[in-house]
Amino acid sequence: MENEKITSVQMMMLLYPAITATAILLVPGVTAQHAQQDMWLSPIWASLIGFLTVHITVQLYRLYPKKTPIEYSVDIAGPFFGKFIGLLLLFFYFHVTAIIIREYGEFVVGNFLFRTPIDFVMGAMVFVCAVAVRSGIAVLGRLAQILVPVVILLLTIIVILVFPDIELENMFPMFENGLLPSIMGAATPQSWFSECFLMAFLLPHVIDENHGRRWGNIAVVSIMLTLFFTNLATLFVFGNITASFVYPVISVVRYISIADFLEHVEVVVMALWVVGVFLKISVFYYALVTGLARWLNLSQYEPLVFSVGLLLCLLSNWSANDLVELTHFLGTTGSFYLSFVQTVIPLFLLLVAKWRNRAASPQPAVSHQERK
Amino acid sequence: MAIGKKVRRALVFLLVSINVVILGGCWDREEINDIAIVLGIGIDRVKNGNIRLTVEIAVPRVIGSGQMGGTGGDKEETIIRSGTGVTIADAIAQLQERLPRRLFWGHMKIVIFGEQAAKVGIREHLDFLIRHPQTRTRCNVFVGKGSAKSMLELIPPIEQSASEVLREMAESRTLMRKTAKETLQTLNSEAETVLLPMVKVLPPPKGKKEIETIPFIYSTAVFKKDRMIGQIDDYITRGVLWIRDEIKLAHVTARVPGERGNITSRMIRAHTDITPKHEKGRWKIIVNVTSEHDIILNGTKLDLLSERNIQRIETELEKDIKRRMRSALDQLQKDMKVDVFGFADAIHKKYPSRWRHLKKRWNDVFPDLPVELNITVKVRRPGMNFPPQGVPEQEVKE
Amino acid sequence: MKAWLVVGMLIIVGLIWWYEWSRLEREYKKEKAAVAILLCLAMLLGVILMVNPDLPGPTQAVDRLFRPFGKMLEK
Repeated sequence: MENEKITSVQMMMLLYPAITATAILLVPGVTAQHAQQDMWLSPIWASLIGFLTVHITVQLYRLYPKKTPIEYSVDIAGPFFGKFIGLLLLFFYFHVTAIIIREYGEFVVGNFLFRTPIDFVMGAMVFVCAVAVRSGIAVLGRLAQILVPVVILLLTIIVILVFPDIELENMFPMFENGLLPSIMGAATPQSWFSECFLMAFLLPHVIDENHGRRWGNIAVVSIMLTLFFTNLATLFVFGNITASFVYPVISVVRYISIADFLEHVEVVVMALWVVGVFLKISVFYYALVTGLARWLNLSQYEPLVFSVGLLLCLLSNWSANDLVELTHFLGTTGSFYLSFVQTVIPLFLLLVAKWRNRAASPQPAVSHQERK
Repeated sequence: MAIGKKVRRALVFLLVSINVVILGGCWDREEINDIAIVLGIGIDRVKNGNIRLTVEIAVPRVIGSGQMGGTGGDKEETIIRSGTGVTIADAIAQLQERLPRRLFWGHMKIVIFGEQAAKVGIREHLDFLIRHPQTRTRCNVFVGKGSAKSMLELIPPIEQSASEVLREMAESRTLMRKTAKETLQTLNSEAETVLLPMVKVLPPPKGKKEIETIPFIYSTAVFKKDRMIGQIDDYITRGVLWIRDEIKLAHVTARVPGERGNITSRMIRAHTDITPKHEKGRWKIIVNVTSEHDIILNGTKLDLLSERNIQRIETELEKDIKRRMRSALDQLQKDMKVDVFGFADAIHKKYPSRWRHLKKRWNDVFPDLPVELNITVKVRRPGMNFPPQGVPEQEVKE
Repeated sequence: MKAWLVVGMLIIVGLIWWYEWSRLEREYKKEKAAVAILLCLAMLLGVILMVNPDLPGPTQAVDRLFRPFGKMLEK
């Protein structure tokens, strides 16, 4: 496949929007439903899954350098089961990418373009992402490097602008029903953190792969901090009614008013937020298309991009009937689905790989032993 | 390559140009001259339980061309339209029939509930306002004495619209201020009570037309759940605000015993702490207030340069503040029996586990809850002068 | 209306087909086959969804599969 390279910093910059962009939409509301005033704690619990996933991914990569899950699953589980796991991953990323596109579409149509057909909104986005994905990982990496700092800056500005309206009181009583509610609230964000597994598709392209683990963890920390601060800001502004909002963060942004002058800032936020989602979809899309190409043993992935995009559009239409179903899915079963495929299956692969390496010495992966 | 470079380039160019045409806001393209900007709405209850929605709409050609001033003399800057229906959304549909432009809610600043509507319940209307994707949760909420429509119809002399008048008044925080978000928050709080500012029409000066005046906030409406059950005057309201730590603007006048004349101070800042206590199976609320004041009027013969005099004044100011708070407690706790002070939330925040049991009996416990008021007033500055003005030096008391 | 959607789909599929075909050299047989299969799948899915838009999708299948876990988070 292609030999384009990104740096580990760029990888982190790709991972950051790949998780944050939609984690600040529906997730805070779902978290608030479970955790109420302890919702600020949930991202911290959730990030544990993020660290675990990064650890698993990096370990697997050390055992099978320059390979993606599609390839090393064959090495680990044999040609039949390996291909099956690969197919499972492909189906998963097909489905999840479609859901992300749908989330984006629902958000834009529900908040800004009320009469625009959702298929059109989603189709336009998929087209842009398809062009980006076709250009290759190096282009995506550079895009992220340019855009992500802007997105982070913007989120910081929002949190600062919210300051005049915060009520610290809203945080109390802390841990009213013990820690359990905040852990329950972490169920949905943890599935977003499990998306760190996308690293596995990016690592083969990273030049300084030794820093992969460090930047992966930095990505998790920065995502955790972002979710922590946005949750905190929402809680401080809306308090006991946070859970009643579908998109609490955007509602907070709408509430901003500085001296009757700086109002209606959500449009600016939107414009830059769409950038974040664009990167998110592109990363997933890229993982999916390259994964598919590898699974089919093709020599290049570019020809598949547009046709996969068309399928994604249809699938996103198919993935949910309405916003309620989508939110319910993401808030309940979806949480387990995402972390099952992206954390539990890799963990299983890792255990099998370790066991195999120990059982039989003349196995393909030897490189890690040199390192140890 | 089957297709030449030129053709390819032309095709790309065509695709880009198509984008320019179709991406201009997609299906939701709205031009500024197609929308009617709603500044404020009034919700009244009319006969057979219907809702009458009155909107105040900015007339764009006048608003925004302020510099030209004067010329547009008696041209109205806003227009008023009403529609009725079973719900507010229903009323909007009827209202839209009577407007050439599409209503735009993004700049709505205020909501007035007519007294009748408020007595029946405001939850349904608030739900609409929060659910609507265009409206702001920051809009100020009021209750109008009489009908809400009559408030919006006024043509204020200084501000451009009645809505703007009310918003300014609420933001100046002389009395209550509640945004839609805050209203919902207090509705969802443990006590389930709401206080909303109440407005009425200021009688116009003689010689002016009936309509050329402003609405103003004169008292506070008390809601239990989402229904208005009564109202309290401005004096009581300040007492409540003081306990709730929401007071921003207050003048306190006191008389010092043994002296003639009044002393008035202006509050600079105040802070209130509500501390619930549970002792021997009985609940008790301790309200600690610290308040900083400047003296703005001295009608006595006391010299403010003396520490002793200042202390005497502070004691009297404390008494006056305490009296206000006490009368607020008397009226709201003893008579109306509504917890608008935030005591329930204070207990919930401090004793979450005990609150769960107390919550069921709260309505019985609350009216007899002992409340201890501790007030500390600090007079920081005497204004521009130390001695009382216009008093011969030998009569000034140190 | 539905007929127009089918025509629209056909145009998009045709455009993608033409675009990819013109870029692939002759020896990339496998790639061409992959594109063709994907486009056929898309066409098929498109038609199925047009005929029966409420067809239970992958989300429902996953939902069924993970229901016992999901119950824990029901509110």
